[in-house]
Amino acid sequence: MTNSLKKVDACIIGSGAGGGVVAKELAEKGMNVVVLEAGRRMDPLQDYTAARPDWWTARKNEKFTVAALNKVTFGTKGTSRPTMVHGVGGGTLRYLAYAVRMVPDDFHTYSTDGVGMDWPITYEELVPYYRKVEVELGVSGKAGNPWTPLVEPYLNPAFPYSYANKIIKRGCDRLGIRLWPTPMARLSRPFDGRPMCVQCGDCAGGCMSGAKSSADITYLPKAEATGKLVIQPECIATRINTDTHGKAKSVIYIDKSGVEHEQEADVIVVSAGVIQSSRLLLNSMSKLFPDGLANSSGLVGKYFMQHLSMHSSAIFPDRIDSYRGFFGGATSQDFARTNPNSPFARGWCNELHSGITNPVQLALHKSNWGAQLKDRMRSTFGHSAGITNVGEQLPDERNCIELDPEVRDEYGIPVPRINFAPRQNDRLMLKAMKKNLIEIYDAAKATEILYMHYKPGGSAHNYGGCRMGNDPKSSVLNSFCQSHDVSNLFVVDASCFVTTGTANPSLTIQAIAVRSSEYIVDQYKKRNI
Amino acid sequence: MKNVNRREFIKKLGIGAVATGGLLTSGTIIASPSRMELPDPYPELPDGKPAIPPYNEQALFLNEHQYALVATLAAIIVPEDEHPGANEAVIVDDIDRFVADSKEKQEIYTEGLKWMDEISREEYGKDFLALDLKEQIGLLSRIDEAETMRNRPVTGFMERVDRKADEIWDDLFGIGESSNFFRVIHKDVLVAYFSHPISWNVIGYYGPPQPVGYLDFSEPPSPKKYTGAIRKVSNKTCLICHGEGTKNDRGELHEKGKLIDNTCKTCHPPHSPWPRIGGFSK
Repeated sequence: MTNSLKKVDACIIGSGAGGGVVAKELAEKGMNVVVLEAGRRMDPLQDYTAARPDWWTARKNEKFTVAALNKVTFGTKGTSRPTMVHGVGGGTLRYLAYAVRMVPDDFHTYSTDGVGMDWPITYEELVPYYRKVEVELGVSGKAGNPWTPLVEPYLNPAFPYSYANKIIKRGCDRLGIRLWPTPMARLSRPFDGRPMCVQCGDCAGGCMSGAKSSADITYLPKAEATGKLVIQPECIATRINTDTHGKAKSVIYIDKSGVEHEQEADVIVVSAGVIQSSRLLLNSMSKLFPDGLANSSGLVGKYFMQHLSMHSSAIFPDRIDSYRGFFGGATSQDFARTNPNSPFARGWCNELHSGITNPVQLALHKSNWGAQLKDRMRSTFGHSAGITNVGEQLPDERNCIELDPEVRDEYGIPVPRINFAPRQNDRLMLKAMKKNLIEIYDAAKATEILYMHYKPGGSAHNYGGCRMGNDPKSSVLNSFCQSHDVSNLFVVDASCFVTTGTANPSLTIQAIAVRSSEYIVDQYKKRNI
Repeated sequence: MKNVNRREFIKKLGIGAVATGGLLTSGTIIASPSRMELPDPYPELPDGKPAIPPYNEQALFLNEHQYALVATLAAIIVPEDEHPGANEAVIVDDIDRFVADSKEKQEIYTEGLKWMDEISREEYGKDFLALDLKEQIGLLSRIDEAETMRNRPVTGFMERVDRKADEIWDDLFGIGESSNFFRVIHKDVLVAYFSHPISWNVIGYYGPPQPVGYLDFSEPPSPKKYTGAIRKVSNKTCLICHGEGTKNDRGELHEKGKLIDNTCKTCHPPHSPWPRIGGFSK
């Protein structure tokens, strides 16, 4: 039995960086909005563990995931499960709050380097939206970095480099690599009724203090305050129905007690995260859309990309006590553009971080025990600092999300099957990133590299699946994230990305979401959708 | 037979060395785990058996014998030296709690502890607790080595050759089918010990991130701070801004003097009035 609900102006699936922003922008313009969120509402003091002595082991991934959505299968060997976060606030609950803009080059890789595809929008078009998001989040940063032009002064001052960053910066200085304080969606002073960040460093476990600008404390409360928004937590969208004219009509979802509901809406916005958004569209096949909703191009789920994250950490001779303060803090995009001398296109950014910061994590890193363990812990704990090189993966049609023909989740719905592998260009870049890391560690006088690894598929930075473009044959969405096929269907999350760039995704998703929302409101008022 | 050394054996087979090593670039060593690099847990043998805590009558799951066995294993994994070890922190009680909480662990521990005694009787003719310290450490080393080798990922040709050598060794002199019990208890002991404040002074760790944070994160560490007790809490000044006051975006200083739970109203997470969707659910 499906329970039919009263029609609303807009139904948004997902409440993360994409959905959270759209919810606020639409509700503030007077539209009645329902947000469906698969995860639950977090209670920072109950659910987050940063104040417990066993905080690192008590921090369980299961708290942030919904079993039915976490089930994936793999079409390729050796791929890890991509990170998904479920909860009101989505991925921003656990993000490290890097608020980095993509560089202008990232939007036209085909024109400049002959790889990937050009975006239908440019950096310059996105600048005012980047600015809007930075103001809303209270980003702490320093304007004028060498890579992204047109950055106005941030509202809050940048954080100083952590001592761990300073240790590695010595190496970067020797090699002539320029560093800049990473703009952070964390507060360097009290702002907008929220407290300043105390540099606890456990952003990934969820922010207890509210200093990290996650969607659940920035965009969503403001949207709820309008009285126009209803958030339905623990509700899993299973299908989007269409009417006879080929317009999206309603969303079918299952609430936590297992009851099925049908929510009709004039506009449907899918912001369920890269993997679930593609899965939902593919699962919404019908007579009119036999290959899945909005899939006349056949490209839904195609061009799945991830950042090529080469994580590493090293031990330094002097004590750093790197567990103090935020994990990252300094970025270089010196290697982000194509180097004509290298055998591959595009590049990576260097993100300096604190390495292994928790005693349990370090103790478990090697299987030491006995006197040997104690000696090692005394001589290495607090000595670590690290770098993650985040590389741009080129879009490749073979990397895709499709439906598994056999495996189903607990509600009987096909689960996503992930085909993913680093391809030729990616592999060459990974090699160069490794070399680059070793050079920096050498220059910074590290004594031992604890680990240096890349896990295919394991990144939290997922992209693609419904890429945007001007040509309906080679893209799924137009530049406003509107489906080419279904005029009242929008996909607003990292699915729309054409290429990955090297910046962390959240700020760009939010900027695109603001731009898309303006368009939705405008078109809705004109009755065009 | 019990004196046959796995490393020697593999060396004699002449194939172990190929997996050894790592990449050496001007002074930086990237370690890759390999059989030759398994470190010796006890370069010097401590004198005497470790003291173990008396049985806790309130234990949730472990019986008296299991309790003593876990405490002994814990004391060998994290021994006492000039700094306290696992038994000073009575982490056997923590492990008792971990085990009581999980059906899966209850099975692993019941079987695993039984297996420890069996293997000890097989090798030395005595229960594990009756062995002397040298025998206990020797036995655990062999178990650890076998489990580590067995759990190493097999990706390339050389690893397959190594795995074969391991299988031959296990057939000839192995310690039988182990349940990977040592890995489980090793992990639990480390998790419990390094989550215990007693260990933080040993390695110099301030403690969990919240609610105080680390506002000195940009400065070089000061050794004074971590050789003493864990950060002292003053009840006069705000824990977070240390009473110096942090200016908000309107340039106002926070209210001084009114402290709740040692923090001022502006700073402390539980009391600061920042917006929450729908309030706190209880």
